[in-house]
This record gives sequence, C-alpha cells and structure tokens, in this order.
Amino acid sequence: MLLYLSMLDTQEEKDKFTEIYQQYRHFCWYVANQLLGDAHLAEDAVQDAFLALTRHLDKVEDVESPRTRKFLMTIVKSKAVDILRKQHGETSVDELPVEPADPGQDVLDHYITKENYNHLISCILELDEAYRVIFEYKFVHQLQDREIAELLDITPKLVNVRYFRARKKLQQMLEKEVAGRAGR
Amino acid sequence: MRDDKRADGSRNGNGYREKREALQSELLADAFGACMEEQLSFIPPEREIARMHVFSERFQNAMEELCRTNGRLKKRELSRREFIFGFNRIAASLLLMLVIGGACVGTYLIAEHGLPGAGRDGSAETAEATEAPEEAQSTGAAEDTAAPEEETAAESMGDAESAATTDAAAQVDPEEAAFAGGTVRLADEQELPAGTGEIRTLVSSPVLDREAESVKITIGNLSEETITYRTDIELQVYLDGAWYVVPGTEEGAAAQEPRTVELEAGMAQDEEILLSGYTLDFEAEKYRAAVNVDGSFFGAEFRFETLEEGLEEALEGTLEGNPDDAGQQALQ
Repeated sequence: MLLYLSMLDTQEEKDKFTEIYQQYRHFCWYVANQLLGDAHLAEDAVQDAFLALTRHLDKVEDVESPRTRKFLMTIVKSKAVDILRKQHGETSVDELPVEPADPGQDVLDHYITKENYNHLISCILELDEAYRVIFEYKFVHQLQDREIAELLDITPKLVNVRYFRARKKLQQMLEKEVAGRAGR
Repeated sequence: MRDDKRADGSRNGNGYREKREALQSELLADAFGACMEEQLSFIPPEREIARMHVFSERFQNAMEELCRTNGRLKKRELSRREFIFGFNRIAASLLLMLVIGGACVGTYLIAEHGLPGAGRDGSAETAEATEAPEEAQSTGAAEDTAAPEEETAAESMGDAESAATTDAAAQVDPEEAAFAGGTVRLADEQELPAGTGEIRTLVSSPVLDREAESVKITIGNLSEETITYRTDIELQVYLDGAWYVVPGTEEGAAAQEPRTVELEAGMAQDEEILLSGYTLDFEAEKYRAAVNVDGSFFGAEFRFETLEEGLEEALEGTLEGNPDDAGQQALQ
C-alpha cells in the first residue's frame, strides 16, 4: 500500500494538481457561488472539491480538456449541494431512501428515446442540481457507484438510493412534458 | 405504446435489452453533456471571475498547503484541530470517570473487606455496631459506617448460602462481557490517547454509516524520525464504562495479514479495518481502533450512526408512503 501511495504522490501528480487548481479555481468558485449565493461558502465548496480531486487525479487525463472542465464542474456542484444540505439541516432526511426497489415503477427507460430528446433536454435543464450531479457522474463521467461514493463521501448504497430518486424525478418531469406535448 | 415496447423487449431477449440500455445510456450521456455545455457557456472566463472575487487569505493558505502536499498535510491539519478538541473532551471525561469510579470502587472494597490492617479493631467495631444498630443510626455519621459493618458482621456469622452465592459471583470473569451474541475480553489498556505531539491517529469519520464496509484509520508521523506500526489494528468496543476487544471472525483474520509498516517522518498513512471481519453491535456507545505504534497503543474513536436504522425502516415504509414528497422536502 505504501508503494502504491508513494506512486500516487509523485511530483508529477502534485504538478498536475497545482496546474488544475491554477487553471480552474475561479471557475469552480463561480459555479459554487451560483448555487450557494455566498462567496465564503463557495470557497468551502471549492476546497472540498479539490480535496476530493486529490484522490481522483487519475480520472483527469488532460488538464486543458473540456472533459476536465466538466468533471470539475460536477464535483464542485456536488460539494455545493452537500453544503446546502448541511446548511438546511436536512442531511438526515436526505439520507432516507424514498424509492421502493420496484423496477416495475421505474419506466424512465420508456421515455429515453431519440424522439423525446428535446423534452429530455428541457427536463434536465429544470432538474434540481442535487439530482443532476448523480446523472452527470454516472453517464457523462462514466463513474461506478463506488467511485461516486468516494467523491461524495457516502456509501455506494446511498449513491444508488440517490440515483433512483433522481431517476424517479426525471421520469415524472418527462411524463408531464410528454403529456403536455400530446395535449398540444 | 409502452406495452408494445415491453413486449418487444421480452421477445428479443437479453441482447435487445442490453443494446437498448446502451443506447439509452448514450442518449442520457449526450443529453446531460449538452446541458453541461449550456451551463458552461454562461460561465465567464477565469480572468473575469478573478476580478469579481478575491479569495480569502484562509482559503489561499489552505489551498497552497493542499497543492504543496497533494491533500495529505491538509488532512493532517484537520486531524490536529479535531484532535485537540476531541482529545481534551475525552481526557476530561475519562479523568472524571476515573475519579468517580475510583471513589466508588474504593468505598465498595472498604465496605466489603474493611480497611487493610484494621483486623481485630474492625471486628470489634462491627460487633458493636451489630449489637446496637439503633444507637448507630442516631447520628448521620454513624449511619454511614454502620451499614457496611452490618454486612461485614453478617458475613462473619458464616451464612453458608450467602457465601456460596458470593463465590459463584466471583467465578464470573470480570474481564469478560457479553457483546453481540458472544463475549468480549477487557482491553489490556483502558486509556489510550488518540496521539501525541509526534504521532496522530484518526478515523476517517467519527460517525460511520452502518453499511460501511470498513473503517479507515489515518496514522500520522509528525516527528522527525521514522516510526513503525502494526497493521493488526485492534477493534475495541466501549461497554458499561470499559473498553473490550472485539474478536475478529476467522475469515476476517485470514483476510488481513498483520505486518509492520514503516512510516517516514512527516508522512501519514491510511489503514483499513474490514468490518465484515467482525460481529458488531451498531447500538454500542462507541468503538475505537487501537493502533500499536512503536510499542505504544493509540486509540481512534468512532461510532455508528443511528440514522441508518431509520434508513432500513424507511426502505420498507416507502412502499406505502409518497416517496417523492419526502425527497422534495429533503432537497428544498
């Protein structure tokens, strides 16, 4: 394990981390501040995000790439969401899973079609950030539940719970959106 | 239409389903990616944001440190702060408990066995007290001494049944306690510091999820010299005011082969205790990981959150309730 850690803690890793920080710190702060509306809390979110990033530097291939920018945006958004949760003292409620593990109720797949793509986009744009980040981690950044759990500092089981909750929310929004189109 | 699609899916089997899932994942990735692009397009360039906000000194210092150490020293600094708060409170509590416990034990032992070297005089006093209990009760001070002396007198009368009961009680090993359907042995060392000025031990989270598979312990070497520690970290549980060693299961012992690790000066190292290797009681007040560093033991305390009990109940309860309302409340 020591060998593994010492490999991770190379000068190259440190340089990479510093480069990412220098390049994206203001960007991260801006993203966090948009969600939190508080400059100092946004700094806390940025700090949390970079701390999480230190353990996942391997996922950043090219510092300059748009992919890295997106990855940082998701991390900092998720950290800002965490701060919002703590601020409102809702952590305990949030941790409660509200979705029964009934695949029969999950019909989101039926709405995820090319025909519904524009509806999907408009629903995502309205989707709460707390839900969006889970989708982003899973689909845009292609992370496993275990990896997401590490980044969010929660258990993989809880990641799954949040994912099902997010799916349900998106499904409801799409149902409404598609029904609205049919009505028109 | 939905039913038609379901029917199609079942007809074409797993291959079709997998292909469809892959397509949907791709579609979701595209859609979420596009939405992220849109979000990004509204974000001004770094230089412009830099003019909008100047980072606080606290933030800059913290980030400089984070950059310098790639997150390592940062963790250690947090540990130090938490250590000072936590350790002072624990030390004060332990001291108070020890004083009270010592006083109680001392009183009990004197009551049971009398003062050492008090021999015959004590017996005489006992006899006196037995003969005139009413007289002894006449003053408060006398009352305090009379009661235990009465007990001593009763013992000296040689009640065989009473003696047998006392013997049986004495046979119950005070070094053991019942825990999680088994027994646990009293820990050799009850008072373990979380660290010293040169060595720190800390768990990743003072409160663990009940689903946690492992507990991570960070061992920090703040000294100028290399230290060594053992990886066979002992898990201990706090029961009725004392620490007991939680025995590992056979599988757990096989999975974690103990070894000695060298930790260089200024370095921190994480170790994990796999919780699957133990039979645990999540309701126990607290646990600690006892780490042997250079022959001295250090204890990093944690407990399991009570919240997760609610988590399990809620999983069942959601089949009846309206889940989305709760989810909305949680996020708003």
